[in-house]
Amino acid sequence: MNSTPQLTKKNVALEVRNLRVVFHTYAGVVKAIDGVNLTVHSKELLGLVGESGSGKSVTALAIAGLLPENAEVLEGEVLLRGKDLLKQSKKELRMARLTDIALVFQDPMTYLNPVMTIGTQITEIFTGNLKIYKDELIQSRLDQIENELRQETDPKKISKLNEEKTKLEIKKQNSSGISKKEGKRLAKLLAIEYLKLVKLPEPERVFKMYPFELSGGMRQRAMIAMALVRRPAVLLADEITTALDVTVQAQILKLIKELRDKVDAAIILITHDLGIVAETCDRVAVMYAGNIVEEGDVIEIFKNPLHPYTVGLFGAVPRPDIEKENLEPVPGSVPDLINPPSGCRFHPRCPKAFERCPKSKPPLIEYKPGHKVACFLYGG
Amino acid sequence: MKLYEYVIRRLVLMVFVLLAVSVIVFVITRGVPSPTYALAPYITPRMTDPQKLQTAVGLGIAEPSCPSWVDFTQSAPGCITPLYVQYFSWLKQVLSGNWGNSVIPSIGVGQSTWGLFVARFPYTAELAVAAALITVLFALPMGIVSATHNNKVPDHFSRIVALVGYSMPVFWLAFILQIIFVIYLTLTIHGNTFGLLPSSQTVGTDCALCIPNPGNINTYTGAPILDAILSLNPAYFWDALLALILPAITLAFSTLGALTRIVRSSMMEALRQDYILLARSKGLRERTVIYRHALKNALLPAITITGLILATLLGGAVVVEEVFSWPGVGQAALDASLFLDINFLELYTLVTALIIVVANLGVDVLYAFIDPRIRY
Repeated sequence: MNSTPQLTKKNVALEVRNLRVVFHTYAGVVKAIDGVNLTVHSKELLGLVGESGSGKSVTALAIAGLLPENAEVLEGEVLLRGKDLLKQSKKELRMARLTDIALVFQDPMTYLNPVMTIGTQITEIFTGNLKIYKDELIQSRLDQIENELRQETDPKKISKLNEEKTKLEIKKQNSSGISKKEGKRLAKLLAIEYLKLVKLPEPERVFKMYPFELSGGMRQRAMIAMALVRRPAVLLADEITTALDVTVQAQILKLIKELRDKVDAAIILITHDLGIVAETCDRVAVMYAGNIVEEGDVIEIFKNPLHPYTVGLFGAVPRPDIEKENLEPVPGSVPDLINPPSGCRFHPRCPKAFERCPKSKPPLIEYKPGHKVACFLYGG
Repeated sequence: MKLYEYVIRRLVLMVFVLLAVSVIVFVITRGVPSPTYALAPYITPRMTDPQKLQTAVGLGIAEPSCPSWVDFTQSAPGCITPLYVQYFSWLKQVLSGNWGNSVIPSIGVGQSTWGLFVARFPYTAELAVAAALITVLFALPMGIVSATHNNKVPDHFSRIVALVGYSMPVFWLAFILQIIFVIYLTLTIHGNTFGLLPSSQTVGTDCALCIPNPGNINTYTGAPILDAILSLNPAYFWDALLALILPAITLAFSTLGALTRIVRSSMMEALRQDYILLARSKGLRERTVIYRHALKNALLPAITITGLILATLLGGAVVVEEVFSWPGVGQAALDASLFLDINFLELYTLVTALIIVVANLGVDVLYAFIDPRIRY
């Protein structure tokens, strides 16, 4: 199992407070997200689980400011580096996406632009924003040169690298920007480094390839490289393994775990697969119908689930170690979010519901240190 | 398969397409009306009947065994050469470069059909290219703005422009423009009143903005604007450009709508795709998202339509050329069909078919450059 990072407040990467999002549709107002609270820390892997339609992806899009036009954020805060993203201008939001918040999506076939090479799709992040990325591009090339120098024995190449190093250091001191051509060259080298980092074979070749020339797993790795290359503070991974077959899934998850240690990102892994959460995450938040119903340490929640919905979810997963005649699905289905149930949105399906449940909404309370639950059975 | 292999294969196929077109054209022009029409360019009233018959025999239309001219004109049995035999002798003649003579009064009598066509085609090409350029220059931005400002003022505006252009009769628009720019908007220079723009393809003094006596140009290509540039004659260039404005705008306006609509819908389709969300999530500028990520994907259908538009325009805009007295092939084709100039109609139809086939091939080749998934 995973070593759990300390759950102190010292390095909170992203905090979502009381987020409420609705969608205006022809059928009515869909209350998709109803008061979500989330905290992720740097180098932490948080799993966000729930059924389809529980609002996991909407939460991710709301954090990145990429909600579709018919969505409206009613209230809430998304705090990143002490700033509320929801109150920022379009340009500031774009900057946040450029430098701090990265997304990786479900289907690597449709999310990569079919008519652009993998390389262009990575380097355009830098070449379109050379002013912002000048220092980072130069610094990462300098680091690359240091590494190469350590391994290089050919004196000719060493002198060549040293020459490049001096040139770059001058450019670094220089307050003026770098030329487009130089930016392109540096961006390419950085992109190839990250394609290597996500373990793509022959990164130089992949750089020049189009998405349709890659396999599903390779495309997903390329998309992860695209996200990580900006060194984001938060990585939102939305169902990144759903479209892949099981062996590739395992590889990608292993990669994500390894990368967590290499880059300082907080990772939110959105999934409906409890197995993935158990294997990969440090903490888990369970979503139901636009609410977080339970949140806590992975081991704690898997050992000791509190919320009836979480208990039901575990009952619905086949386990080879326990002999059962039938799986026990959670009765009923996801509620209609245009007219959601009053009070606790889970009460119509809850086996333990009592008279208080339909009347008011249970708050998310700390039942034990590091284990929060939103259910009246446990107070609140 | 390599691209050039594909192109060669298509070019070979093209020969068969053109042969099929030539059969259809031949049957329609020679088989349907009286066979004497094909003789029209070659006989004169002064000829005697035996001379006329001899000409017909020489052209491979009448059988040598035909007893008299009267029998021939009455299509007596055994007098007219079977159509398929006529076709092959015609094909042989045409392939050797002999398209016969023209009978269009005032513009073509006595001229060789090929010479007439070659002299007129550059005018049509000039007009077609200008109109296609205007179409693309306006339709592309209008379609894009329409898609990015869906259901807002710019969208409504461009949709109205597209719809109006689409549904307005071309000849009517041509007249309206002529009335405005030639009759209403006038300037008086040295006591003479001129319309702002010329109403026809003439170079010289019939408009206010024109430069009188622009001098002469050498004929390199036959297209006035191109020749003016090659002859380094700016005054002539200016006059030729002024003459081009009204017909080119008229033509462009009528083709603008189709392209705008196609660009709009394919842009909207592209902007809905997942890769646009990923592009935005990378923090790219909205400009980059629209013009790099969406537009490149939306261009394919637009290129198809543009290719077709250009091909159609190169085939000659009959109505516009007639209204603006534009000496192109479209105007000649209209006269040719009025005076039953079979030779010209045959040449005109075959060249139009050739242009469309080549344009389609060009579009297919362009596809491969724009979309890496398309390989031949």
